[in-house]
Amino acid sequence: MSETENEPDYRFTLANERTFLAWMRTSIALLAGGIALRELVEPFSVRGARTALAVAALALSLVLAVTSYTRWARVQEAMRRGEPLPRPLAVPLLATGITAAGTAAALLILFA
Amino acid sequence: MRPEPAGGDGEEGGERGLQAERTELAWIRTALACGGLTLLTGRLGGDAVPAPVAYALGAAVAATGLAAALVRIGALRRAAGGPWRSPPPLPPAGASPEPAPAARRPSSSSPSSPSSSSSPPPSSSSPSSSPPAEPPRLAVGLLAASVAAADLVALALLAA
Repeated sequence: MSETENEPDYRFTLANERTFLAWMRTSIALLAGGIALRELVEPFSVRGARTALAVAALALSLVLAVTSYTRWARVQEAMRRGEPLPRPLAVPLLATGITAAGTAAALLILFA
Repeated sequence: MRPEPAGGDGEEGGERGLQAERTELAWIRTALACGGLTLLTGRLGGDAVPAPVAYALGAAVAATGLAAALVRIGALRRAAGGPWRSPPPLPPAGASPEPAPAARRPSSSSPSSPSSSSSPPPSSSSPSSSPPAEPPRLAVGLLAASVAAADLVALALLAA
């Protein structure tokens, strides 16, 4: 740790850790959702749509698992240096992905 | 005005215990989610994927998540085994409560009192002589890697 860096207050360290864990639970939920979609849901009328949605959920889960770790590390580093926190890129990504998947699933169900 | 009860923000002893406890609970919830995933991955055992492979995938994630949680909870418990596990007594009625030195730290860079909000402003940073534990790089990396690996395996199994 350099002279310009300070160990953050313990509350910030623990809050950052809990935020990481919340992201990991979201990633696990997407992983479980992808598996459940593939194995428990009846096939849609469009061939391959069910697998495509499952793959999308798994891919989003993978991205979240990776970015949650990098974000945790970057936030910890920013707090040590007293810099502004990095922008949460995973938030718009997650919102966009879930919106797209939800819309696609709704259309498939409605027009099945 | 009634002083804030021990354990609330601004009381170093109780708050440290609560912060560590909340973090422990977050780890436990995550470990439970990993365990629940094991039950679901058994459903992967179908035509394309042998059931033992599916169960092994889920069990690997669950075991890694549980191990990471145990490592981190152990570190938190060791660090929180100090005096802050026992909240300090409430000051007598009418006495003006003097915040502990560590509780004042976040307000040094922020005009608002830390006791007025449950979450301190993220811009606050100050040297802390005894944080509950070091940043959990091992546990965090282990958990993220295991879930990412499970994602990759599940994607490969679906593509197969």
